[in-house]
Amino acid sequence: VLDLAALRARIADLVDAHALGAGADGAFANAPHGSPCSAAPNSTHTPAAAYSLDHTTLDHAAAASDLAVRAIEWAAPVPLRTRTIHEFLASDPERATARWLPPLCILVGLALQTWTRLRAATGIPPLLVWIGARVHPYAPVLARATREGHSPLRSSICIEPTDAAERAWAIDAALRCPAPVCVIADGSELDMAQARRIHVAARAGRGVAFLARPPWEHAARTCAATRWRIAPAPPAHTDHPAAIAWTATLLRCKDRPALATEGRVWTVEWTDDQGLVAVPAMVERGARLAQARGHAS
Amino acid sequence: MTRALSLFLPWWSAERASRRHAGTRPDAVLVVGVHRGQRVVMGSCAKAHALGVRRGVSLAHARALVGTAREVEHDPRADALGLAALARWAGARWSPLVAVDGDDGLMLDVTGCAHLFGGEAAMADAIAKAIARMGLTGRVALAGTPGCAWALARYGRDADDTPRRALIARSGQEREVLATLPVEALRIEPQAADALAQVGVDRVGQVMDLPRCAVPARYGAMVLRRLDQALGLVAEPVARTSEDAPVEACRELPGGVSRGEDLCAVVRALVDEACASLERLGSGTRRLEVRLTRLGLPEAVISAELSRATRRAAHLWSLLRPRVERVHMGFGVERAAVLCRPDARVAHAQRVLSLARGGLALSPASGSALNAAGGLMLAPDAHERDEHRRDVGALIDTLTNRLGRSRLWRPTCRAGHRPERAHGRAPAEEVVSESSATRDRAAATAGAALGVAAGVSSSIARPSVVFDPPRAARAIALTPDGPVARLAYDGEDVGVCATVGPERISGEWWRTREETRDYYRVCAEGGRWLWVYREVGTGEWRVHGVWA
Repeated sequence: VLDLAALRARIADLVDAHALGAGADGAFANAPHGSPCSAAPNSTHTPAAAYSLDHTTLDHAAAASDLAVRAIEWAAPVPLRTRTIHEFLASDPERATARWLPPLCILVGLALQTWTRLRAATGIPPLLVWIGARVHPYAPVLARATREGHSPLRSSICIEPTDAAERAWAIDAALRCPAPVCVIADGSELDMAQARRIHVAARAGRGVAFLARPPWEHAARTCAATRWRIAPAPPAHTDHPAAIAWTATLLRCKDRPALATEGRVWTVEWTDDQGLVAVPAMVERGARLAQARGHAS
Repeated sequence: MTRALSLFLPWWSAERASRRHAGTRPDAVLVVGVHRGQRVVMGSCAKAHALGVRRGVSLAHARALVGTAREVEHDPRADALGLAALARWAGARWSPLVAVDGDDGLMLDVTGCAHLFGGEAAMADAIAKAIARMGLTGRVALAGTPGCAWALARYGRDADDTPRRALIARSGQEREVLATLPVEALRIEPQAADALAQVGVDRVGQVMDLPRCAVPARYGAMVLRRLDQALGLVAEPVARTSEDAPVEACRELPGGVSRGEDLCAVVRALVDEACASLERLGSGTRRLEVRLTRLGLPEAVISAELSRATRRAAHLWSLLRPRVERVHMGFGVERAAVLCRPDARVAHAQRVLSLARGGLALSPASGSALNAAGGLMLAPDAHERDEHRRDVGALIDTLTNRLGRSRLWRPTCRAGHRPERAHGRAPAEEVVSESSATRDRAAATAGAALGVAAGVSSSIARPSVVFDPPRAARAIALTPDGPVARLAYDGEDVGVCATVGPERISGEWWRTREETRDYYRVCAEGGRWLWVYREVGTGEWRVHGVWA
């Protein structure tokens, strides 16, 4: 019995070691695993506060030059580990119909982060697999080339299965690929058996799956490590009236169930790094900092 | 100066079919096939030919002429495969440019090759000897044009009127060499040769003397063309065919196999065999076909398409297996064949020898193992990349074979002004190919030059979802051309809190009929951002996308 317990502990250690959330650039979260955001539960962060966490983990100059890649930053302190599934519920009560739209901006942002981080970790650009017509993004959103000529668009494939069973099979097949993959899929109408199969596939492979689910499946049984509800944030919640923002509510977190029961809400912003109209919080902050430094000197 | 070498195998069919029996029974060999319901001789050996057997005579007639003879079934497919294998051998041994010439010979372009073998005479002699060692009768001729070499190999005679093993004609000598040969040596249709014979023209020299303007009208255009090719007046390059020869592994199953497990075992073994052949060729295939001849049912063809050339039997079998297991076997499968084409070179995998745990084990080399061994063949990075490509290629194959090619693609950006033309689809297998990278960069550059991609590179300028077609909308503005206050679309009526824009997008200059659009980023009351546009000419509003 003791040996079994030791073995379990060892497996848990190995699983943790495999997770992306190790060190500064491993986790999706901006904050370290142990220190949740300073905001109180059921409150919202300002984007500036969310970005301030970045500075603790990333070199300032590098962050400034790499703005395009970090267009979406995920402000939650919950690391989204690889070799698991993460679910994102669309939340739009007005459109709770068959024509529901998945929270695609968030999924694109996460996919781009995964792509960048896995590429940095392994040196090989991972494959992005978009399964289901609903989650196929508009290609120019993915069109960003790195200096070496890699582009998330170039390592993307879109798949259009006909029904839920075929979709589940495609997700399973993609996750079982020995190469690192990031699967972004329409996870609607998947039953528990299919979800479990996908979960097993995720554990077997080296990838991560982000599933989009419709608003009415918030209580569906799942094997996902985390489940989030994404809703558009009213403009008043953001610094800038032209910022595109969402609120992300943590509904389930396998590793830290307490976080989910508290009903944490975070604001996530898609910054406009071109400076077309809106000024991104980070650039603004940077300018302010420079100004402050100038005054000080 | 071109030098062509023609290798003529007069008894190819018979000698190929009886090769494995060579030396056991020195009987005459007849190759028998069916022509118009009658069993006729399709080919014979030298011995039968000497006894008067000719192609096309009935089997009964031939038996009467030769007495006892070994009769083999005519198998044109096996003949072609054998000839292709011979062409590969010649390609590796004598000259890189080898073409299969009809059904009984090879044509080699040996320009600049002869000195490697000690001159033309030595080379021709060596080839003739090598062919003889294979148990085949071959005649070799070397000339300045393929046409002349072909004619000499088939109709060239020695001074004492006996066919010689190797004949060589110097370049420029074609006219004299050909003049004495029969008109059939020009590779013309038998009808044209008959027509020439009727007017007493039976030598090529006589054809040369005919007035050129009259020949095409009377005997067809081919006669002059072939003559000019043989004389070197019209170029005739040797088209290399050796690489395209298909690889086939087949098994006859007498009585028919009717158990699924047995069929799977047979097909699996055939896939292994085909992969071993591919390995010998140093190639991989991109399309594999399984043909099953069934009793009482038409032939079943199961094919697997691959994203990149491979010869991994396990992967190929994983693609074929679900379909082989489901195939309707009728009253039994009588013949199973696996066909593939060596499409691309696949490098041999470097293997490392490990002596761990007292046993010998060969395993595919990994970068680190190679590093440790010190003998670095591939950069570890390149090796890992190749492995990654192989894994991704296998995934794409699995998906394509189950879902079909149309359901799988790679999204791309295009250099189009209009948002609906700024994206497109490319074959999914391009993910694992190198060539698409350059094209992508070119498209991105072109897009930037057009000024479209400039805003796109930030990604926020474009929504994540674009509606196709754009949805009709009604906008209410407080002042004409002022900011939008309310927007009605899709049965919804939403208030607008913020508007960003306009961004004016016109069609390309050559699309004169397209309306210019003013795009706005509009925030609906709930916080949802929409991408709407107004056509400048008509003033109509449409919702084109959403930042979902």
